[in-house]
Amino acid sequence: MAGDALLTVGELRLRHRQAGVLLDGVSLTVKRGQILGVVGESGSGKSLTGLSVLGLQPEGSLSGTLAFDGEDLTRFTPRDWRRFRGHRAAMIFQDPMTAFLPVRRIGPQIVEQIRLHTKLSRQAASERVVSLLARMGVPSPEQTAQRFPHELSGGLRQRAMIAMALSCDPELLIADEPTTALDVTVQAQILTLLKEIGAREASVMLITHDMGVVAQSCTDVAVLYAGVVIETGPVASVLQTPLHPYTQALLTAIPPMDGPRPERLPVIEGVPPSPETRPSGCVFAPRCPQISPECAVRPAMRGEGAHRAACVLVA
Amino acid sequence: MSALLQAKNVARTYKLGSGASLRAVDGISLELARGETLALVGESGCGKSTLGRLLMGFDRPDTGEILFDGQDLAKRSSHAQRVLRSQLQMVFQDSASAFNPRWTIGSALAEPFRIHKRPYSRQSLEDLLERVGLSGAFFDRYPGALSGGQRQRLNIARAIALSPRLIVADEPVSALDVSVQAQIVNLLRQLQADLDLACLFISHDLAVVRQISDRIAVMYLGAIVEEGETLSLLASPAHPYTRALVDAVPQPGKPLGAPLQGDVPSPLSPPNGCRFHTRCPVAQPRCSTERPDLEERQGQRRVACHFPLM
Repeated sequence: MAGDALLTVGELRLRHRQAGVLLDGVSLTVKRGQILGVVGESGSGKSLTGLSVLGLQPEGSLSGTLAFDGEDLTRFTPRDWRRFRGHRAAMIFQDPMTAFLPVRRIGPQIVEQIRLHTKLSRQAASERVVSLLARMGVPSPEQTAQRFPHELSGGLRQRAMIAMALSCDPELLIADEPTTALDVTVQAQILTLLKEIGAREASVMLITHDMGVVAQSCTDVAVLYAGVVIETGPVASVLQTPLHPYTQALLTAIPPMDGPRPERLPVIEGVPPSPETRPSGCVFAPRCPQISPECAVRPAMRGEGAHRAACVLVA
Repeated sequence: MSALLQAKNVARTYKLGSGASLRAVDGISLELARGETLALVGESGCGKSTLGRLLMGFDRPDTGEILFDGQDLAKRSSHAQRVLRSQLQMVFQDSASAFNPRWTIGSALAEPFRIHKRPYSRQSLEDLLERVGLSGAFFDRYPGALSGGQRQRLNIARAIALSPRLIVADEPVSALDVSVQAQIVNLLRQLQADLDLACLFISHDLAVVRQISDRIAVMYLGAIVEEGETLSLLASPAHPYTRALVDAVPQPGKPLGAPLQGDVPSPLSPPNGCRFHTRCPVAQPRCSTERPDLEERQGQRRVACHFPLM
């Protein structure tokens, strides 16, 4: 049912022996039929959050809850994970070139994945690949299935990768910066495709650094900073009235595409905390222009309705 | 207008192994005035970086000429070239590969002075660091100690070390996070104003380009399709390709328009007629046979289109 929680991540923490704290309380929910944007800057933990959902996070102590359609992912055995990955939840990456084996044709690689998870015959699986490629907007899908990854353009490779990810009808598609390497006109094509997928086929978790991408393709958004989800809510609400000072600063740092041109772009002073300087209170406090004594304690998510932020300024 | 840099009908073709040839830059003319910023925008493979390299003198055009301060670099003696070169500097996207990791930051900054036999002191180099917003305390440290944004500041410090008159910046902020990107964009604008620097800013990011440039030249498959004043060009594009680029920029509060279909054709076999006609939403039969010239329109706009949108 649309609107039901498909994936619930609660207070997810990941500590790595060398790198220190990587995730420090990530809480988010992906509902059925939703496209959730997970947005943040480099090192904020957005990709790690996506990887953790598939049990692919680096070695380290992981705590918190990960529930998928009522199942507890933290109790999964390697065998459970093999059945889960690619079948119920699939992931696509920024660079489709590394997702395909360069020495095999596109079609057989997708057929292999389908036959691993279903009982379809080779013939039926091949037909399914062609119809999948066609649905992803790949021109002449029969011929394209017989080509090698390097023979396709970047945009077509990305479509083929999305076709592979959707080949076993997953309920969740995790897309990690799927358009970052693409030109802007091709990016627009892929975002349109992801929106269609979100509306019809699977829930989507779209990991990106680009607020513009979130604005145009997501229904909801979770903003990450230094391994913490600091704001979450429906896209329109978060972008129009951001509650957290970090979200506010991130949005004003983007040069505007219309209206007057500012003399200087507003910037966020300082850098994200390193493992040694990690504050015990609010993680953004050292860079925050509106700091107060209460910020010494890590604020909980607060706010009314679906739009919430982890900041003491929120009533 | 006294042009600092002038390119006249510049073309460059690269021969490829299989007997094919790639016309990367196909007859481009442009001018850049003192202290002005011209942005070159376009998608991958449109030739914007090749054009930047030609203008820097890293590579020679097959035909056409490039004049810096009225002089053709290629026709000067090697000594005169070296003197002129100090006035032209380049900033690349990848600041990590721009520095020798085994040289201290101080010696990296001193190198241009040594090459051009100009006097320098530790104090002058530390001043240079501070000018780009880095602490002088970095002098004895190594580039590995810097974050991406700090390294790009160092990259800029080295480029302005010899007080050049022109900087060619090839995607200088594309690899940076948006908050750091804003800092570097501010820094570049500040330095340009202080030092009367002209800048050729190569980028695919229209929002950044809008913030930093005075004029924009839009390239598609080796040629300029539209050129004009930044704010007016972005507000009312005349070429359908410029329109598509502007519409494809994801922005809060604006729904995504119908995306342009297809991919950029291979530059190895560009389409006949208008290069853009295979993807153009308003193409007519004439567009597939007759290549439009870049012609002056109202308001100092130059457009290469038979059916411009203004």
